[in-house]
Amino acid sequence: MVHRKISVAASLLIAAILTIFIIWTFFPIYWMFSTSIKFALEVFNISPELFPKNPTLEHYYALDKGSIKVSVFLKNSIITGLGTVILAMFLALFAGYALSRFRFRMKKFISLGILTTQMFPLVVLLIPLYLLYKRLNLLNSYIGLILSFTSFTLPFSIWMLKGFIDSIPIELEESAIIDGCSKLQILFHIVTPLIVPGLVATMVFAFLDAWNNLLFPLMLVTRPSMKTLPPGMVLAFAGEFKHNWGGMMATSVIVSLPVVVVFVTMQKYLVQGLTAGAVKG
Amino acid sequence: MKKIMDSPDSKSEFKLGRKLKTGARAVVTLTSFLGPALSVMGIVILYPIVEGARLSLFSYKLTRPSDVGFSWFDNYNYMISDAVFWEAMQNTFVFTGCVVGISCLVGLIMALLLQRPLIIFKFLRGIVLIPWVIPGIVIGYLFLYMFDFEIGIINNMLVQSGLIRKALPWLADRELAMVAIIIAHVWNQTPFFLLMFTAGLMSIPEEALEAAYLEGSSSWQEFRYVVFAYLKKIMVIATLLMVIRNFNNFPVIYAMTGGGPSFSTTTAVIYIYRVAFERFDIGYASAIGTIWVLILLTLSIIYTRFLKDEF
Amino acid sequence: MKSINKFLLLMIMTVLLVGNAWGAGEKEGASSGPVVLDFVNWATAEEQTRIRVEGLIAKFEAENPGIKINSITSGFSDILNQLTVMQNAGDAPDIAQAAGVNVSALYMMGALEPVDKLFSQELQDDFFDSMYDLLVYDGKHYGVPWGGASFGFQYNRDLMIQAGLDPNNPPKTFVEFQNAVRKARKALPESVVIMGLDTSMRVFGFEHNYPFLLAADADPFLQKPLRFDTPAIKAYLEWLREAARGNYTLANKKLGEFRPIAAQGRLLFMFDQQHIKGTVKSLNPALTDEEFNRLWGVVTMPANAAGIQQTTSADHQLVVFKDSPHKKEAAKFVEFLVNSDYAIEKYIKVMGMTPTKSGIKRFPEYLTDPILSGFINDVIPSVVPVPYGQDFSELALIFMSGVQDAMTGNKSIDEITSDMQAKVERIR
Repeated sequence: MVHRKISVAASLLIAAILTIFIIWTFFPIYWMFSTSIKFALEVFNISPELFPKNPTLEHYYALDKGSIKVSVFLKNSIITGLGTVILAMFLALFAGYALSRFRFRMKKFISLGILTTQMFPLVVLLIPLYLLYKRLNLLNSYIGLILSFTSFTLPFSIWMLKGFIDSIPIELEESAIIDGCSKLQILFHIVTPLIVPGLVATMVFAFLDAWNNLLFPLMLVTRPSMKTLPPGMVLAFAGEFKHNWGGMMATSVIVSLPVVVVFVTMQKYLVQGLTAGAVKG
Repeated sequence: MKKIMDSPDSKSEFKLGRKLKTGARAVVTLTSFLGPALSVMGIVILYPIVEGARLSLFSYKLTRPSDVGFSWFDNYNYMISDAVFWEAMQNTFVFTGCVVGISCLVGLIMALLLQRPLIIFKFLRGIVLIPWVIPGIVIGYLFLYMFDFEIGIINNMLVQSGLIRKALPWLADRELAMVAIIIAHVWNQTPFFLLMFTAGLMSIPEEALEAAYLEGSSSWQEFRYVVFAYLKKIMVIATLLMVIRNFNNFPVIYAMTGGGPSFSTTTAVIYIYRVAFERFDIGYASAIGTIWVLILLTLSIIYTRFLKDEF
Repeated sequence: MKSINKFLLLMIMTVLLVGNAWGAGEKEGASSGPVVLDFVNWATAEEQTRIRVEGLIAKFEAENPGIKINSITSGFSDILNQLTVMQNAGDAPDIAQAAGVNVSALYMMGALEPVDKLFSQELQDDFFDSMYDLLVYDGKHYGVPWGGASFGFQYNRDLMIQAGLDPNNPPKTFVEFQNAVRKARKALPESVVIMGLDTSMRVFGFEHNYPFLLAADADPFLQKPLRFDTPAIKAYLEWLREAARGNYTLANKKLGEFRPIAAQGRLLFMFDQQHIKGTVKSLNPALTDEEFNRLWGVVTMPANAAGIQQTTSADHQLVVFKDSPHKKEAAKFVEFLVNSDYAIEKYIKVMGMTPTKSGIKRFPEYLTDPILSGFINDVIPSVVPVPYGQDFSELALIFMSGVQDAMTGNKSIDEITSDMQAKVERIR
């Protein structure tokens, strides 16, 4: 990579900016964590302590007690998250391949149509959707949630995978066709192994979309035992009697930790993946 | 798998090989590939959109079940004279414009600064992406707590460091509340732009940069004429995605201000939610939603046109 | 069909079938077996009440082996949304916990069963009239009070002394109240909040303001048709603007957000419900019963110009749904919850809420505890019904947006009230 020399002044400036940016990024996360280890009444102090002097794990212990168990929400989030990743990957892979390789008249229209599905504020249609789900027996079910999360994340996944597939030279496939491979074989044996970083990146985003989704599980799941973490948090903490900041932050840490871990460990793939394909497509 | 010296827009399509002819078999293959994805999206999203458009033509209030009936464009007429609706529209545009604009700019700058292959930067790059990953509802409650007038850390630090004399009523003041939610969203979304631009920067071919260097162009010129050209496309796509996302953003604003004070932070989605679930006016809520889709659709078409023109 | 297509079709069908079977496990049991009652409530969502209500459910199930209660937890602010969605999708529960405007909204949706025929006359007579009659629509009762929660006027005696006010003589009229607040603000340090008023953008915010509107003779519902631009309302909004700018209260806060402040001893005047002692003590475990009783006094809300003291309630109530196939069992459970010794002892009394008339006789603490008896003797008799009606939610929210504009913006009060009135006239 070409590197120009930069002056000392410029270096210092850059370092300063980066430091500010890092503090800006980190402080809220730190605050979330430090609040979660403060005692219940401490969080209402007029001068909140930057470093909690009496840390406590009481909020974390409380997470698994009573009829609202955060561990149940966690389980539901994991199941629906993984389910979404699997389903979305299959569907997006096929669709992305089709949009990349096939030429057909309706292509623009379908692409735009896919983009449109991202635009609608689903808040409005919760009742018809609830009715629809009831008729299809999908309420309070994992598959119902997985379907809804998948439909939410598909547009982006399809777009990303299409980009990756675009970047693979046709020549590889053409020789396979000459050899008599079916489309399916081409897809799975040739194309997929070449876009692994991209696939990983897409899977991470799909998991994120499922994990963080609030509106769908809020409305399409009425039994608390089936709720995922985001609506579970609302249920547990936006109550009549008080704002339990400490408990809320402890739950926030639990809600965020898995996705943070996934994201940071897969970060390499994400950048690599985006570089190789989607960015160009 | 980098393509060598490729322009950013070559299509890699081919006719359906020698085995398949166009016609029935091609259609069948096409359907089987695209079908599943489209049906999932169709059930969960397209059906409600169509149903929403249909409901918008009805007068349908849950609290007046005997009054439900077809009412043509009544709801739309009502919308035109609804001051709160226009305020919500304005809020949405202002909010989205600021959030996307600022996040994009900061993301770009940070991506540029974090380019150098220092090990620590690779590590940092991973960590600064964290805000993107945190669920909206968590961000909403976290910033609600931080911006609290009395017990929030932000006021506390601002006053103690002498930057302001008295604590600011962040979430109780019309303008400040908007600033607060913009800050929360910028915090959340900057990493996305950072990620996209980083990927974009990495995909700029060496040769282009070398050529610029050899020609003796300054850093700024290199940026303006080489780097920016490559990043433009990403910028357009990323901003389009984020504009759509922010237009429909719900959890953070709902947790932080609920749309208040008065309606100063009410965006279109929040307004729809309130109309549907506090006024129980499903017909009107559907009408707003339908208009909303049309607006976004128009915006997207304009955007993609712009994309075509650029290349 | 090509093999690919067959393969795909098979895959999709498998996924749907498996998922359906898997998800279906969450549905209710077969029709034979115990009667299962769906009970939507927020009591099991709140830390303070969760374990107690679960205990009540367990006791009832033990005493009634043929009935099982399926407690469906929902957040307090979400419960109406949840019930609306359920009702309109044909999935209504059997019983629900409700409060305030929820009951009237559900009534208007045609969701509720009148309770006059479901319960014995004896039980119905046992309810406090002012509490039971809050739930009358069309001449019938549509709910049952489950723990009275009226708004009383609580004052911190120590802070009153510090402010130069007489703790044995709290303000009796609205004007006295305003003057006391102004005087206290001058005397007390910045960190003390003078009054705890809910000015959040919710229907509940309006319900909390309503007693003050009554005291200020600014009741918008007095005239028909309703008007929001009366001089009395303008004066009330001026008062709120003064309160925001003069730092008498914290703007845009919910009632519950003042409770921790009270627990820290930083709140002078509080306008909370019967359970306030329990709530404050749970926030500040160091506070003993005696200390609380010494520190806090309870009276009725300030009176209006005519000397009438009035307040409103946000009682917790139980409603039975019209679509419930098990109304008799539901009624049995409801009766257990509101009037059994066990429920009163373990839940209602502990929460400091008001039970039935006979309940008070059976549990004399109600008359000996100064806070509880203050509520029973002074506050409850002054309860008046809130004029819930068809457009109540909309009107309440319009009013609260005006309140927020008055407290946090710069528009003139005249402009604000004419805006409000314009919105009112546009309600369809």
